[in-house]
Amino acid sequence: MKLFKPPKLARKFLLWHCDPDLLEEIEGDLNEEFEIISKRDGYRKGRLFYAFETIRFVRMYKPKKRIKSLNTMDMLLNYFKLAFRNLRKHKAFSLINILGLSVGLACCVLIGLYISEELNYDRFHAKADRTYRVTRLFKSSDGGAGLHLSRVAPPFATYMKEDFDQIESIARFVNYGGMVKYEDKIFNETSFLWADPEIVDILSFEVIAGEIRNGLGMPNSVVISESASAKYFGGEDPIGKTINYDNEVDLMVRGVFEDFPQTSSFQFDLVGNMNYVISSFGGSQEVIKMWYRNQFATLFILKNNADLPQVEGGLNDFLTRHLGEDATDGNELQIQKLTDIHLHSNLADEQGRNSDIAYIFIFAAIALLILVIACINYMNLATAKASNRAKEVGMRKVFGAAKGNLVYQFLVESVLLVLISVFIAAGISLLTLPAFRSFTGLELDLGRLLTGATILKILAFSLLIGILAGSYPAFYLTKFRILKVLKGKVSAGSRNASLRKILVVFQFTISIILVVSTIVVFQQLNFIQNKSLGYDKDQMMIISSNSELQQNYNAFKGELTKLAGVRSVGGSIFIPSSQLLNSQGSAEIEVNGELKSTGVGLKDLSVDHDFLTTYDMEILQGRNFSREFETDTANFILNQTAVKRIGWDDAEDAVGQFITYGGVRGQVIGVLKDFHFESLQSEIQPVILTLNTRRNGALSVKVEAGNIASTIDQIEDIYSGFAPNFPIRFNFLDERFETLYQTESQRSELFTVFSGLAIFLACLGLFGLTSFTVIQRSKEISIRKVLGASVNQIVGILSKEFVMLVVVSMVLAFPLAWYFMGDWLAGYAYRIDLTWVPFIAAAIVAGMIAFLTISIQTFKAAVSNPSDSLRDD
Amino acid sequence: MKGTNIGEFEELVLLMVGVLYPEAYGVSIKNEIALRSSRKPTLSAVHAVLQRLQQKGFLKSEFGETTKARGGKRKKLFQITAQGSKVLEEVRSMRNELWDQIPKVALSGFSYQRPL
Repeated sequence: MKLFKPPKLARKFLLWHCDPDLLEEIEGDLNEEFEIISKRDGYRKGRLFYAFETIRFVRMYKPKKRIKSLNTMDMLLNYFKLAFRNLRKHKAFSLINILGLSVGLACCVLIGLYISEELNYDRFHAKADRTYRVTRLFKSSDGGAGLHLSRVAPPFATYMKEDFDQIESIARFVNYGGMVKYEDKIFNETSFLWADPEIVDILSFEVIAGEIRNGLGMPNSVVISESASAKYFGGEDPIGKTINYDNEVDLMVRGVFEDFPQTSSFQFDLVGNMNYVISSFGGSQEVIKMWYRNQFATLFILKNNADLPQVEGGLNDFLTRHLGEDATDGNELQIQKLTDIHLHSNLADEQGRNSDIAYIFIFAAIALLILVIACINYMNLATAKASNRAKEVGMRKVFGAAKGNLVYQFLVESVLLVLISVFIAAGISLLTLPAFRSFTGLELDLGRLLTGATILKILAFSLLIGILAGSYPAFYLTKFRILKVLKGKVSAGSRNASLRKILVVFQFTISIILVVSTIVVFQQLNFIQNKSLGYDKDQMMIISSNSELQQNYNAFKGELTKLAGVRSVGGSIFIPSSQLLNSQGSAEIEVNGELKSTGVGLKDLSVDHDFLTTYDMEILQGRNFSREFETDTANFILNQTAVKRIGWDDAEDAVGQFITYGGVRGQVIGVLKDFHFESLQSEIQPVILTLNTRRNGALSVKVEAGNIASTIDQIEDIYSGFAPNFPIRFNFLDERFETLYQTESQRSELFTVFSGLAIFLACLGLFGLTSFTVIQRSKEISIRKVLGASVNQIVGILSKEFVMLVVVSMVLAFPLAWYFMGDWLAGYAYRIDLTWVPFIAAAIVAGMIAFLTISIQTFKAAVSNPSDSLRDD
Repeated sequence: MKGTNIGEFEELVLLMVGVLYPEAYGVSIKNEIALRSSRKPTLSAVHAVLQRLQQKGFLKSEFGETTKARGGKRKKLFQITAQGSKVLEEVRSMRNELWDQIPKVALSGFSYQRPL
């Protein structure tokens, strides 16, 4: 007989809509009729009948009876009660979970604070969205970005205001720090800004007392920040008081403004009128010609509906209009959003601490990964526990719990766990916040985080984590068939052993990548800090010069050189570890008496006769500046990079050539071996050294090792004889280099802490899993012991599985870590080669920690008395 | 209680349950109706009415045996309850009463147009 089968889809539809109480009779009748029709009219007709009839039966649809219970609230309370009981019953598991989650969450909170701080830079200015900065890019001869200056020359602002309609307001400011005196208080201010009064229209100055906008506009006036006011005037009313700048000019305080928050790229303490700077340069007719003095930060705001691309498009024309036809060769003006300064640019000579968006991503990723590791711990332990709880689930089902109820119960359990962890995490982060603050040097405004909205977000977030972490165990456990479970057929959580293994491997892979990265970062930083710079940076004392000292510059130098503890004294405009900022554009070389542009932007460094010998820099070819040659003031010394960029084959070719630089024609008298003047993150720049024997910004004093303290005393004595009105300012070169890498080393330490945490959390999970396995296999272990297995053998058997997981993680982690770190190192001009050392170190560290974690449990199991676990049966 | 009135189709189904006793279930009722009257109800219509009558208390049911054609599903066999038979009685007696009261002439085609 032919077998007729009703259409599947139609049957499914019936099952879906039909009242289960009526299903049997209806389906039976349908089948019977279907068979009759199929036999009589053919299979097709029968199927058609069946399909239509299932649709017609919709008329009997009744909303399914649900226990739309009156006791929802009671059930919920019951779930909580059960959850608490369970947490208490499995103390070790709860502890591991709560500890892991709360540490992970605390990390997230701290990193979140850090990130939100970084993302909020400069956004407090009311017009931040249409504020821009003018920068200037000098390309290197091969067309790449050579030097990108965050400040430009003073005439740009003047002419841009005239030439571009779209600009609403433009302002410059320049930092000329100096000595500031009020009555008997004297401070050396490294930051004293001189600004166009329009700056007040662009940046948001909050007036506290007096007038800012008008005050800045008045001659011989200064406006100061609240903290500067407290520093100079204490509780007195600062308005109308007079301070003295560098013994040169008296300035009257006209206004006090609120300190800029730390999330500002620009900090203003003392602000004077730009006119003073202009007049000290010889008036505006002179300043308008100073195209080479790239020291003036220039900010502007666009008109409300103006289009930035229009301004940007006009910049090349603008340059050629004012600087001649070839003005755009090798350099261009650029425009940058104010809010991009902190994270999206890293230009030369920024005033503030600049960060990088890449680090924001890295830290966000780390926070997320740590949280994921903690969540995985929960999932792993919960599924591992599953077999223990399978009986519970079975019993609950027997007593009438629907699948939904059980899912709820498990979710409530995990949400409760997460909520407890959130509170503990809040505690941890509050406790560690001061340390984290002083460590990162950021204010990390907690107030921004403690708004209602964010608290709601955190709660919603933790609910989400709870549901995510709890979902797997919840759905997995409730799927068990009652009968199987109660008959004891669900074996020791083995069904999902492979998933657990994958998760463990995932955790360890992440941890190992982090460990490798940490080691590589440390190696690189160490390399940078210890790399030979090309000169001697030890025992080098740097004394800042000032106007009084300038007058007796050579006499002071002479006195210092006579001291027994001083080997030599050299002067220069910039000090190694700072940046080479001055550039008078490119040099022109003379070929057969004709000038030829090289297109190589040279950085100039003016030094005195003794600078090179003080620093012990190596002259490859030619000679140092010498007192015997009067004309040396118009001669130049180049470094190797400059020689190479200009296009000479080697040092020999360069010496003796005539070049024109900054309008001065002179001979190349020597070539220096390349040296790292700036941070090792930047490449060696082409440098041209000029001779300047009178006005140099700083004196470098090479002191003899041993007895440095008394040498410093002697130097201070001599100094106060020459410059009684200015307190001495000095520091040591190696310290300056250390501060140069401060952010980097901070970051790497932060990195260490977090990768340590990741390892810790992963091990916590591993610990939980091993202890679980050991309990599961306790009978097996006992029997093995009874049959004569040694402790070592048992530890081996138990550990093998987990050690394998760690080994697999290594295999996965190493190529990834290799790739990531190669990428990171590529950002450094001078870097270490990736070797196997960090990988082997990470393997040993991770392997040891994991093995120790495992063996705590396995060893305990191996030495236990077999009769303890066997006597129950 | 939803009222004791029953509709025409309900009455028909109720009668069929009685006629088919003890073998009254969905398919047999449907086929019987098709056989004895000119109408062809759908299976779902019959089921809906059976369900309604049961809710009203005029029918009771129990599961019967299964056949191969039913794919292992049992039949649901219906019986008229005391209340059900009472309702049938009432309907019938009311109908009889009404029949009796119809004047003969009304049925034989009296017309006012045609004079006697």
